[in-house]
Order: sequence, then structure tokens, then C-alpha cells
Amino acid sequence: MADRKLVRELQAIVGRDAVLHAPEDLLVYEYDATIERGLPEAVVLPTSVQQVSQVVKLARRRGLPITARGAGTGLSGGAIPTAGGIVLVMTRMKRILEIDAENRLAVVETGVVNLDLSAALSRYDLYYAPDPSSQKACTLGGNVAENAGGPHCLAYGVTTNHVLGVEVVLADGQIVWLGGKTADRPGYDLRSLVIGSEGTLAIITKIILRLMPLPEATITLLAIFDEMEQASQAVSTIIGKGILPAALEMLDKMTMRAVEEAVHAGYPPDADAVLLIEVEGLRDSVGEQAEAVRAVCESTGAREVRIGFSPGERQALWAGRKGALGALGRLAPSYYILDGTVPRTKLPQVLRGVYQVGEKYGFPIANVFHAGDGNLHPNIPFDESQPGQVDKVLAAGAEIMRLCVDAGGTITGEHGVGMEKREFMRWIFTDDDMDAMMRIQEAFAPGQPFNPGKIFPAAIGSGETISRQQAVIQSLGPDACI
Amino acid sequence: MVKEDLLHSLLESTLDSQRVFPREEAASYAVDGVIPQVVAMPATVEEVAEVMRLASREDAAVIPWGSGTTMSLGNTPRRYDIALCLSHLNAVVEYEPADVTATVQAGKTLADLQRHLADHGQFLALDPPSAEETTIGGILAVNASGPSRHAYGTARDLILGMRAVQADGRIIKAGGRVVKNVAGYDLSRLFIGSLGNLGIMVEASFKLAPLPRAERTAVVLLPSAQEAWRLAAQTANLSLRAVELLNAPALRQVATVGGAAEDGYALVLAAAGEPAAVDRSLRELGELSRRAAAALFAEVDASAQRQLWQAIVSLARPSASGTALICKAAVLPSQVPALSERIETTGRELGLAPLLVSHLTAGIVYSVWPLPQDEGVQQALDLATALRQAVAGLGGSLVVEACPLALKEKIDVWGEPAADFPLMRRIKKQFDPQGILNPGRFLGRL
Repeated sequence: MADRKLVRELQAIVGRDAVLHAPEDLLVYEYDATIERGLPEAVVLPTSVQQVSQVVKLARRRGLPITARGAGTGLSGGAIPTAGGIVLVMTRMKRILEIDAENRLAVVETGVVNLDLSAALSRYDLYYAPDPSSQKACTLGGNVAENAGGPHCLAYGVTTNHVLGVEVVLADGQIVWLGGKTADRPGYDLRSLVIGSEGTLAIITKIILRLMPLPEATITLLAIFDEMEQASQAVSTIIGKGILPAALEMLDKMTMRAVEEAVHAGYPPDADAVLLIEVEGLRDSVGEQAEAVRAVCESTGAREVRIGFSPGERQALWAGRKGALGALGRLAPSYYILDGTVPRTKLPQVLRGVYQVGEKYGFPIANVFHAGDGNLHPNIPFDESQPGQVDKVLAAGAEIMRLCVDAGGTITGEHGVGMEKREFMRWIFTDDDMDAMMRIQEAFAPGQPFNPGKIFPAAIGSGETISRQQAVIQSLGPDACI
Repeated sequence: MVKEDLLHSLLESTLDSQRVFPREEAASYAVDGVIPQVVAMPATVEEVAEVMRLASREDAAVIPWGSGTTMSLGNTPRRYDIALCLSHLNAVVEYEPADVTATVQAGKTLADLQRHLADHGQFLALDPPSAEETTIGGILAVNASGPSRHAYGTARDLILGMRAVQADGRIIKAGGRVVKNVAGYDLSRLFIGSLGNLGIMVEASFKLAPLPRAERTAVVLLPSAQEAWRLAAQTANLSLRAVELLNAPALRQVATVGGAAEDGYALVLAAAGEPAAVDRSLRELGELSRRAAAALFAEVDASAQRQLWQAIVSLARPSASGTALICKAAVLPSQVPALSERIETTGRELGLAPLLVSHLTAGIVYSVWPLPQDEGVQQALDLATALRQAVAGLGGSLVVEACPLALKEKIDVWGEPAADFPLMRRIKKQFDPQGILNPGRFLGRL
């Protein structure tokens, strides 16, 4: 809880209604969409970059860490204030400042909700491509901080491919633009460092985004498989043949059952797996592309390939896909979602391994993920209140992460390292690699004033707080997961 | 020179003597007239690390060298002891066609890599000048791009990860080899465009693309740059690989289009992708041209396409003689017409006819100024100053990519550092505290 003087000083900057300090109010900000927790001393909801700058200066004087937070939909504990201090909630900075349709860019404040931007753009026949499943709620600032992805990032790239510049508040309170509206700016690409830095380098206050023209034609396909193996083989084959769909998603049986119970999206709950595929482009060529996709799916053993959905049906399929996490949430009191990426050719092998891990630990595992990118999201429903379950689920998660790394992949494709995966960083980076990254932090924000205890393993970063994931891994020993 | 002997002997103990050359043989590795003490050609990443350990111990300044095609870019080096030539690091480290990704060493030439990938119907979607000579490391160091950036973006859109040797010889990795990866800070993109100023890039992993199944090229002649922009703005949905804007002198340099090219501007557009989409795009370009009352709409003969694009890409390539002034301006795409007209006016006032070639939809305008020998540096300085003012007024940037050497004594070729520069200086200090990597050549003489 905050001391009165701190509260008064914060109120003097942002106003009385923009500081939360009562214990019951703070509780709302101790978690995100993961199973980690951390309580702040005060929560501040600024409305301008000047306020952010003043809060940063105040926190610096008082030696308090600052954790920026958007909508709290993060899936790696990135917005959890592990070391206490101040949580800066950016959701009141939500103006779309400029839409330049001619140059296909938009300038927004950091708290603008992802989907709200695309809604505002539709009358210009433009949209913002990265579409995380939480896009109805998540903020663009959070997307930038985590370098978020989404189903349609297969063809168009993740957040970093769509951000031209960011206005940030640095550790000394200075307000500065990194990158900008024009291309190829001279100097180091500092913009790219801040994107995906998980709030550890600077506080993002404004963003310049690259916009895309809405495609002329889109065809949605649903390929239905009786064997998961066939579905993952279809994914590898589509990519290997040089067909680049706009989206290529996989849902397994458990996911489909949960989704159908929750929203009746139109998935066949008796199938082992489906691929939800979209091809986009000119109406002259999408038909041919769709046929090519269909042919691959049929040749790899699809029981049926549905095509020709009405706009309503298409919307329902996507609502089901993007709502899958929520639907799975109904199966058990808690869930643990993972985010590894593997080379697309390794998908069949790694998926087999994922189900084996589930069997070994006695968990059902639901898989719903960006198959075309090789970006897996194994999802483990469990009961947090059962003794030992948390440790078990984290151990299973670690084993799955190890499978991804051993297949030549990585520990996070789009959710960020946050606090939960920081011990896994050692599996993909050496001490020298991480030391180089720490020197970036030293240049931007010496002393870790922003979001301490994230990304880097405890001994490398200075954060002493240990996540539940770390505790489990340490108890298992260094090679336990191999 | 004591230092030279020392370096030479040390390098010989590190590398095979066949791959170390003394100053007498280093003239072709001069940068802005500065000749290094020694040329080192390591054959492995570990040898690069050895050279850097030696360099940092001896406080010797190192300039990484690919094929030397872009060495005119940058300020004059403050000091220069070792040319670190990476051409022996030219292996394809990993290529799994079905993953559509590849990992290659920095010394591989782009053309070599493309030939390798083409066997599997794929390519790295970058088309900077001098593909036969330019290396992957060189492309990354200067963030080189070409007309294809319209469809595919630049190296920062295609990079998955890299390995680099730091100033102190430690080898680091950033990113990975899979297409989606957000673990750790994005050092790969930081290194791209840093002119080898933070570390020696030795290996990079890329997202590849399938070779387009069809490609057709059209040339449209329009009375003004503004009209060209208006036409281009209506092509957002078409399947275009490149949208280049050339002024009349530039067009004359690359093609013979008859009397129509006396004046005005030419749009050169490549449609690429699925055959049906390419045909539709060409058809629509034809219609747009008719509606815009274009002086000419012509499809380029299929057999001449490749040559035309090579010529366009080469327009802004620095010449060996170093007599031309080549400037790269970046503004908003919609500002390209106004900037182009302004540059032409400036030229007319000075009695010069610059070649203008723009990556229109990226807002990048190259102007190439052949300078009369007798005018000396003053004219180049006046030009650079005038262009910089014009571009600054539009909120953009202007880099002098090649110029007479004397101009480099008078200006920072990258332009004036902005408010983010102190942060850049701190990063440089963290990564290269001794200042031995390409000292003085980057923005703000970092």
C-alpha cells in the first residue's frame, strides 16, 4: 500500500480520480491473464505524456519501479508489478490522433484498443493488420510492448513490421520520438529495440502505425481432419509449396468442443483437428489459391474441406477461434497457455510430443494456434486449488517449451517472456547474448526503473522476485526437462 | 610503422598468412582515401572473434568489409587500422526449403544466395544495387533495399535473427531461425543499418519468399510527378512488386521510349504474383493510365524486363570515380511529387539536370548529380544544403550517399542528429567503449 505522501504527490500530477491506492482497488492490478501475481503500491491513470513524464520523474526521485499496463490481457505476466511500485495504466490515453489515408499511417495514443483502430479505419478501406485474439480489449501500446502477433500475421508480419515510430518517456522523464513517419531514418533503429521490450526500456505514449488496404477478396476454408497428424502435415505442405495464406490456424478436438459448447461457431466437434485458412488478394486469383490449398488438404487426408461461407458464418468461425481461450477457460478453474514457435517442418513431431507430455502429467492439452507460423499454443486447463497442481502444470509447460527449443524453435512467438519464461531464456541465449541485451537496458534505463524482474533470468537481471515458474524449474534442476 | 608490423605479425599468428595483407597491398581497401595498416580475411566466425580480440587489445580501429560496393556511404573514418574482409565467410549455414527460411554467412553475395534459393523456387526478397558483388553483411550494414520494398519491405521485415562478433571479440546471437520470435531485445534490427558500428555481423537468418509465378512490367509517362502520384495512389490493391518514379533524364538513362520522354515523369511498375492477379493488375494499370491521359502506357517486353529493372536499380549506385553527388531523401510518399519538382527547380537554377528515381510508395527519392570537375566542393555543398533544407521542411531526412571527398569535411553525410541521439551515443558506448568499430563514420560521427 502507498504512503500518503506518495499518493498526494501523484494526485498533484494526474488529479485525484486518477490515482488508486486503496487495497481493494490495487488488487485489480496485481494480475494479468497468467497465473502470476504482484501487488503495486499505487496505480496511476495518466491522460497525457506530460503526466507520464512527471510520474516517471517522481518515481525516480523516490526509487520506485514503474510498470506500464494496457488492458491487462497479457499472457506472460508482463504487466505484473513484481517489485511493487507504481503501475501506470495507459487506458485513458486512447485518442486516435491522426489518420493519414493517403500515406497509409495512423498516429494513436498508447491506450487505443486494437480493434477500435481498425473500426475507425474501415471507412478509408484500410486496416491495421496485427490481430491478437484479445483485440477487442487489448491496447496498441501493450501490443507494441509485447510485439504482439495474431492469426493474420502469417502473411503480414507481427507488430514490429507495422510500427513506424513511437513516442516514449525515458527513464529521466525526457519525452522523445524513436523512428517516425518517414522511412529509413539515419541512426540506430531504436524503435525496434522498444518494440517487444516488454515495458523495460521506456514508457510508450504514442505510436505511428503502418496501415494496409483492405483486401479486395477473401476466401475462408475449413479443412476437417480425422487425424491431427494429417492436419499438421497439411500445414507443412502448404508452406513448403510456397502458398502463403493470410491466416492458417489449427484447432484440435478439445478446443472445438469447448468452443462449440460456448458459442456454436460452426466447428465439427467430432473431428480430430481443423485448419481455419484464409486466402486474400485480388478476386482474379484468390479462387485459384483456395483451390491449391484445398488440394493440399485433400491430399494429406482431409475428410472434408468446407468453402463458401457466408459473411455471418465466417465471422462466427473467427469469433470461435479468437474466443477459444475463453471457451477453454470454462473447462477448469484455471488454464496455462504456452507460446512456443518451431520450424514449420517440425510441427507434426512437436505436436506429438506435446500430447505425450500431457499424458505423462495426466493433463488434457488443448491446442489452438497459428499453425502457419509454427507458433504453438498448448493450453492446459487445471485446478489451481488442488495441492501440487500448479507445480505440475508448470513442469509440464517447461517440458513443452524444451520440446520447442530442441526442435530449433523458441520459447515465445508472440506473448513475450515476461516473468514466467525468464528462466527459459538460458535455453536459447548464452550469458554473453543476454549480457548484450542488458547493455541495451543499461543505455536506456540504468538501474531498471521500468518493469524490473522481467525477460532476464534472476541472476542476470536484478529482480529478486522469483516467479512460480522459476521456482518449479529450480526445484527440477537444470536438466530435468530434457 | 611499428603498429603495422605488430598488427601484421599478430594477425599472422591468428590467421593463415595467405589471408593477411600488409599496407602495401591494402590500397583497394581504402575508405575515403584512408588506407588500413593491414587487411585480415578470416575464414571462420571464431577467426573474426580472434581478430576483434586482437583489435580491442591493441586498440586498433576496424572497418568490416563485404565487397566494398557501398563504402562511399558514411563520414570519413577517424582512424582505420584493420580492414576486416568477410568474403571468406560465404556459406549457407542452414536452408530448409519447406520452412521457407535460410541462415547464411555475412560474406555470401546476394546473387550467389539467390541462385541457391532459386533451385527451390524461393528467394530473399531484397533487390539492392550490385547484386552480383554485394554481400549479405553489406546489405544489412547499410539496410540496403530496392524497388521490391514496395511489396516485401526491407531487411528489417525479413530478418529472423543473427550472430555478431562484438568489439571485444565475444560472439552473440539475437533472435532465432523461426518466423515468429519475441524472446529478448531485438538486437538484429538494431544491427541492421548500423554500418557495422556496433558489432561485426557474421550470420543472419531470413524469412524467404516463393518466387512469383508471373511478372510483367509497364511504363507510364505522365506530365508531372503529381499526376504520377495520383495514379499510383489508386493501385493499392493491385498485385504490384515495385512502383518506381523516374524523371525524364533518369528514364532516358534506362530505356528508349521515343520523343515522349522529353519531359515529365515515368512510373515504372512491376506486377508480380499469381498469373491471373498479374494480368488483372496490368489491365487495370492500362485503364488508369488512359483515364489519367498518360502520354504513354507501354508494357515492357518480357525479355527486356530483367535488364530494365537492373538498370533502374543501378541508377543511384555510387560510381567508382566518386565525382557524382548522390542523395537519398526520405519523406512521406505523398510529398514525393513536391520534393521532386523542388529538386528539379534547384537543378535548373544551377544549370544541372539530376537523375531522379524514387521508391514512390516508400517516400524515398534518390537524386544523382553529375558534378562538373572544375566546380569543386562548393557546388556540392550548396546542393546538399539546399536539398537538406527542402527535406527538413517536410519532416524527412536526407543522407548524402556518395559525394566528392572534400564535401565530407564540411558536413555530416547523415544529417543533423535528433533528440534521440544521446541514447544512440549511450548504446555505442555500451557496445564499443573503445570506439574501434568503424570510428567516426556513422551519424554524429559515432
